[in-house]
Amino acid sequence: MVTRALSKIVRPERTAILQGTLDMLILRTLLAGPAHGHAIARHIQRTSDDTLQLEHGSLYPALHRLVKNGWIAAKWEMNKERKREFKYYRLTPLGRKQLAHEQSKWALVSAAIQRILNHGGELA
Amino acid sequence: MKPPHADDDLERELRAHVDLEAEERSGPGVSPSEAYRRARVALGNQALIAEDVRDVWHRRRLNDLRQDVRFGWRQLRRKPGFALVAILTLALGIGANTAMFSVAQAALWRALPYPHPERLVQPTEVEAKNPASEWGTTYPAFQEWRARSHSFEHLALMFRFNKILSEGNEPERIAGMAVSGDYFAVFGVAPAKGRALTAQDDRVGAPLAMVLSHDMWADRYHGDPTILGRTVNFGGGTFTVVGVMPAGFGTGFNGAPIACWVSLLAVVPPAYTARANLWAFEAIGRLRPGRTAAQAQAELEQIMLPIWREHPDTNRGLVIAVPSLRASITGDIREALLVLLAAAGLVLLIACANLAVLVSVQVSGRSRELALRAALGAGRVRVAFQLLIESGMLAAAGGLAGVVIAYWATRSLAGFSQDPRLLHAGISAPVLGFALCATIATTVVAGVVPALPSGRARQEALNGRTGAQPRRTRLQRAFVAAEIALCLVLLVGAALLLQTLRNVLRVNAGFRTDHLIVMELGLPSTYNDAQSLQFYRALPARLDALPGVTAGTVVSNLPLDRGSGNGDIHIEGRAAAPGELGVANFQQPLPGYFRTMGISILEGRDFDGRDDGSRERVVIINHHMAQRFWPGASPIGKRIKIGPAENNSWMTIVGVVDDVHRTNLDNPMGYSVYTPLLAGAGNNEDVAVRTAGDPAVVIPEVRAELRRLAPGLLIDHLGTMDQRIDDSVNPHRLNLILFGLFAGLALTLACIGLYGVIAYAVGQRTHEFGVRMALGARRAQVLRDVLGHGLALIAGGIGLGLVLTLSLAGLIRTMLFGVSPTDPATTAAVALLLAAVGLAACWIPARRATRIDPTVALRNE
Repeated sequence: MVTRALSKIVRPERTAILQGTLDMLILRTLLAGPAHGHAIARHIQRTSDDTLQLEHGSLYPALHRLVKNGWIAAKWEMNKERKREFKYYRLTPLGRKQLAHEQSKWALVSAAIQRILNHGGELA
Repeated sequence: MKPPHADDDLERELRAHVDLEAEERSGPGVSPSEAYRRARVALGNQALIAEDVRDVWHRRRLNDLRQDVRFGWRQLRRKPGFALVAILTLALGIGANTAMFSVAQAALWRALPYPHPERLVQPTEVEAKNPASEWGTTYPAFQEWRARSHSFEHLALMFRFNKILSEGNEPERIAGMAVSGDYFAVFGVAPAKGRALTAQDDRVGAPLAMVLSHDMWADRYHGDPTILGRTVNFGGGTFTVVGVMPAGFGTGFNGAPIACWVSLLAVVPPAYTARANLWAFEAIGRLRPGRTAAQAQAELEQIMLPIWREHPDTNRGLVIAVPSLRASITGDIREALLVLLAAAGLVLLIACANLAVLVSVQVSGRSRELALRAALGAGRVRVAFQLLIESGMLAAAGGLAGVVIAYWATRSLAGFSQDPRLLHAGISAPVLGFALCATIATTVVAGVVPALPSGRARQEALNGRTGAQPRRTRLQRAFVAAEIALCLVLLVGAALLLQTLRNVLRVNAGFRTDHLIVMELGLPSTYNDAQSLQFYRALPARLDALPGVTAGTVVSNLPLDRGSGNGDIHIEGRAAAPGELGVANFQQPLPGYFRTMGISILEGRDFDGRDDGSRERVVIINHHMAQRFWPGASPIGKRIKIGPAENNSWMTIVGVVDDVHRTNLDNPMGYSVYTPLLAGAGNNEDVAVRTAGDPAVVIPEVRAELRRLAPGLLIDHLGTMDQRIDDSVNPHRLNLILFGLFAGLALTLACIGLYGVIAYAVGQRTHEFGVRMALGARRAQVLRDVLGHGLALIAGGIGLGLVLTLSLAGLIRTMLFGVSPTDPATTAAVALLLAAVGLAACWIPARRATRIDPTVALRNE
């Protein structure tokens, strides 16, 4: 169920609460270390076993919003292997706090949704 | 916020993304171009992405703002009454402040139009006991200062006088200034035409040179380009015009603008400049760079100490003070202006508190809406921002209207006061800046404060409990109580000033002021002293013959005038240091003067035709002086001298007359002596004409008769004594009008605030009242309940206000006359009035509470 709900994030139209979820996923990804946009997208797709079909385009407005909120910071840096500059995003201390906050909120919400879905079958 | 080159940056970022994606998707069987196509598809529409990113940085915020403004506008339109009251409140509050600020700025803080004006000072001798008494200085003292002090770059002396300027048949009494050589160097202002006066001109026997003010040149000589070199008759001397000063020089201080400057030693007789006890001059100096006024003060005092010691006659308990030029210009109005500015500030505070209360009541009513918006994702900041936008819109409208009000008010104020120092008051850049600051401060106070409790209240509101929130209600009540307290302060101030004006007008001037025409005359300089005396001696009979005239008389200085000369009192048989017995002002009347003026002769006799200086010298003194020096005894026959003891002869007292106020009604009574005009009249004397009917009707007759008697005669300040008294109380009246306006405004605002809070509380308790009345509560009980609630607020506010009034009493003291700033009767009366008006404001909502229909109230549940 969670998966289906999340897949909606990646559509251009989205609702506020789901937008927050993408933010959380990005923050969680950056917890492992700095990464550029493509790597973040890859990581979200890979770690969800490709269940989350993230439309890459939606990633960038989200990244910029997080930068604006001060949760992540961006910097162009040289990738030595590829001999090319990429824009790397890294988590700020504020972002770390935000992630913790979002994760606990998400735990509450998903548990609640789970309960509704479980009981929903019986009522129907 | 938006980083520079954000678009380029994003494009570069997306290109990197596509490159990496294409690399991953390429492989056996997939051409590089196909890999790129798939990568771009996976990324999505780049233009849209760019749009979204730009939104994040920029447009979203602007949209929010536009939305908030539109939403705020709708909110205000829904409650036009609230919006109107709020805007009006602010317009008046900001308008009053801006106007007062503009006046104070013009008078107190505007840069003086001279280079480095902060270095200009006016050294003066002042009484050690009364530093406000500026005596000016004497010529010998000035000479010592100029020769021995090192604090000044330039130091000059000036002497103000009015004399008649004439060429042909156009005499005009103009304000002139006799100045020592360095005067123009002190100011550092170059003449617009010709040259200024220098030390070369300031010698006895130097050619008589004159510098004209710009206005004099423009008005009297119509800007004549050939003015330089022209000769004019001024006060009997023939002067050559050598220069014209630029516009504005010679104006901006208290008193008439200076029309011309001449050299001091050229016009001031040696008898004046030689005297070490004639404080007729004002000094002005420019401090050397780096020197302070305190250093100059210490230095001048060091110079004076030996002189004071050796010649006790030159010191009357005097010390040196070196006030800045600005301080000596604004000294007498500074305090009143600051008090009025503070009063206007209180009005703005009340307006702010009032707006905060009104907004807060509105917000309470909207708590559900705001909570809903918060729940739908609007952050707490965003909700507060929404409120800020709304109060900002109100404040902006109020501020704009306030500036318009201020413009109008400043004009009328400057016109009403007639004080030349206020002429520059207007809407300038600093004034607009002040209005802007006031508006922003108002927005913040009125917008943020009501928003504070909104976070906590959100949950309750969403749960459907729209009841009063204790914290916000407490805040509203605190604001209203504060409004009432400040209102009391202003009301007490206004009441004190009202009593001041009444007390001043009630002062017995000492003579009959009604039906009295007054004027100053100036005979052409072709009249010698004997001819002048002959003219003035014959004048009363000619005036008496006019229809409507009861009697006419002549005196050197009429009462309630600019004042007359003063001299030390000496009494035969009483050894006293010079000045120890005080000073007396003196004037010279014709016989019959006291009768015509209605001044009672308490003892002895009036002058008569034989008192012409040919016999024993005689003098009449006032009651105040008789009481002081001959208490319980008759002064008739005693002999006195006025002025320097050595060069006067004894005068025998022949009469005592009632006390008359010399300059202002609110000045303390001084000692006056009268000597006969017949013993010596000059060209310039004052005339008073008592009329049977309306003096205004007789004025043209009097003027025509005077012109017939002496062609070329100058007639100045022709009017009625009532008008002169009216003018003399003008500053008091202006204080009262302004304070009264502020207090009235404050009272209105406080009542609106009180009404708002009580009406809101009644609205909140509709259900409760319904229940209580259904259970048998009588209307009177409900009424008492609501009024009691209001009364508690009023009492709290008045209590606080009384404390404030007592602690601020000292500020207004100098503006009062005949009433103490802590006058208990005034304070009590005002407190009662405020309580009564406040209760009246509560009455309307209280009545509404009693009319609640229990069935309707309960059905609403």
